[in-house]
Amino acid sequence: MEEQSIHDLGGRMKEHLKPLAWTAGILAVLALVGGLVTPTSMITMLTVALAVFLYFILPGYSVLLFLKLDAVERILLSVPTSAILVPIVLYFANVFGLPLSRTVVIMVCAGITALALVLFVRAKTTAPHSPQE
Amino acid sequence: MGEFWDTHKHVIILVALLVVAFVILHFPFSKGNLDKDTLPVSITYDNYYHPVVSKGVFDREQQQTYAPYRAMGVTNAVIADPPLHFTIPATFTKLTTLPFYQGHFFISVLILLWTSVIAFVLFRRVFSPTIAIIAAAFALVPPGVAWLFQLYIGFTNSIEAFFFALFILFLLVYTLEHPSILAAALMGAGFAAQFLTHGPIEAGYTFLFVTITMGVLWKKRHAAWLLGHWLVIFGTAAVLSFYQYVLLRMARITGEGIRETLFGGKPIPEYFPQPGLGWLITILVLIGAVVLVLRVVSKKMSKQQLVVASFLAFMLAVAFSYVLGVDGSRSFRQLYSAYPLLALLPAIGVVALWNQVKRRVSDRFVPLFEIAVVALIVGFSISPIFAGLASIGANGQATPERWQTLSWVREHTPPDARVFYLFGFEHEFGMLAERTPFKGDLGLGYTQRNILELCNGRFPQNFSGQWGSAITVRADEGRMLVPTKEGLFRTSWHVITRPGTDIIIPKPEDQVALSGFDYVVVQHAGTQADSCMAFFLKEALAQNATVAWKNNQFTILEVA
Repeated sequence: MEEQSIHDLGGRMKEHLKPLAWTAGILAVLALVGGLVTPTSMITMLTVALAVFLYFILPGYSVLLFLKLDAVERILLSVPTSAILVPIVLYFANVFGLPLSRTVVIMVCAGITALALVLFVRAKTTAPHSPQE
Repeated sequence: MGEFWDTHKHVIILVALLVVAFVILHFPFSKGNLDKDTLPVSITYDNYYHPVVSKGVFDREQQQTYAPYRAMGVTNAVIADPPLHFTIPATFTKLTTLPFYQGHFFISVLILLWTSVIAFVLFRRVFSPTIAIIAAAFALVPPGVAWLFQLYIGFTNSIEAFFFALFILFLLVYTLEHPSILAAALMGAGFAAQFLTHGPIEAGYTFLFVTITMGVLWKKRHAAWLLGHWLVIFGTAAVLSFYQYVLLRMARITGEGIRETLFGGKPIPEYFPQPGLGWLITILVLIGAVVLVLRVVSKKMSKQQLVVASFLAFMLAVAFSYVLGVDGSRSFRQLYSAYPLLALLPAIGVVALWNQVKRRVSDRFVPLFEIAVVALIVGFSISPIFAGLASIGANGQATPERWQTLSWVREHTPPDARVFYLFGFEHEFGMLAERTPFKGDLGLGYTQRNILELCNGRFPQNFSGQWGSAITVRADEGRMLVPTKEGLFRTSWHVITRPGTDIIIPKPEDQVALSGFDYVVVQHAGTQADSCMAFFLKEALAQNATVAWKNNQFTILEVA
């Protein structure tokens, strides 16, 4: 029974990862094309794409897993969700003395993502019929 | 391929629209070169102020205190501006190899575009995917530059605060279907984000609408549930906004206070672009409005549709409330911010017309219709918009000669150097040099006064201006006070004695002799007062100033 539940969860997580993979792919293609057809260097284009994914997509997407949204809504709304959560956390981290450095920004983006994913998996494994789907 | 297209066509069209819209909004200013370390848009005050303060945060990796060059040389003056507007570009750019000003502009364009994307998601859920994609085309590639403010030349705080407003509206609609504490908490965080982006203005409007809507829709049926969710929204917003609220209460903002803003009834400034619709769009908007009203009257609207339509009407009412003498310019700018939401009207107009035709044609023409409409909107809009923006981009303040001059000041003078910009730059372009300037924000009047003296053949004993820039200051019995940071939470007031003068008056105007400056930047060629500039140079050199650097338009004097 428990094995079945974990198997279901794995399948659903795979479904949730698909839109992320598509988004990463689209960003990468846009960066590559941008690097080829504009005066901007390829490395700049790729870092911008990576930053958009890390800063604006991942944290918001992870949090929105808790809401009953379709894949398109979840991906597109991950931008405003991240734009609310990431800078607010960074601002208060700075109030408490942490510098707004690259390391801290990465830690905050990764931290929000990881925390949301852990809570989501935990919610799924302890109560399979909540909080979404 | 067929099934994939059927399932994802709207997303594919949206991505294509986003790419086109990004190019239209960004490339006229950046020329597509994101590696160039110049300010892409350099037209109005906002274009200087926001990127400069944000760059201070980026460079110093903190946003508790202003960079000293923004605060009359004071090293620990507290930043009381709404912070998020600076936090987002300052922290996002850390993850990239972008020069800071390019990172700042990228974020501005991204937020502008994504406001339309949130509107797309909202309309797709509440109305239909067809209406959503047509509205997205109208919003992202707007046919008629005149009635929009999709351009990053001002009102940036308003635009960014409205970005969060549409997300809050989506969450409100969502909670009508799926009551959710998380959605309520996110709404609260959204209000806090609005407050932390632009103070109480947009947050106030949106919160008022959400509270009224929740009260009207759920008053009888779910009173306890309603109250619980509202408390979560309000509580989250209050907790996250509290620190900034305290800072705002401590400092007296240099602009209008809240009371003056809400009840001042100031007229709309002349430089505001006037909204104007082409005849075709006017017809579509009217049809859309009539359809919406008829559906409301005939009670054919879902609760969710009613909420969106009400918010649209609410924002229009806010925008035009200036005619009642309430909050003139600040309310009117909501018309520009709310543009992606207003795009619903012509989109409904198009679909209403299509519905009349659709009965006679096969369903397989529906996707073709969508693509045709989007292509028409883009086709007719792209050229005039790009040309219009390119013209604005080409007339920015950041000419190569000026940028070269400011870069020299930034790279070759001590960080605490006091610099006087005696030339015809509008506003405070000199702040980009990141040195304490003697000009002040919006100090064109001082420049004119100084130049007029020179043109009359008089070398002023003292020059007029302001030290520093528009930091949050407070006047107390004739002294200038700045809130300063002393610890994590402790702040106190610091009495400012501006460098180079003993005159301390509430109005931040100073009179400073030439010897009070370390450097003077002069535009000796290309102004309408070249002879006056030549007179200044001659007199200044006679007073022991030396030429530190020059190019074909500018001379930088080092004052002994």
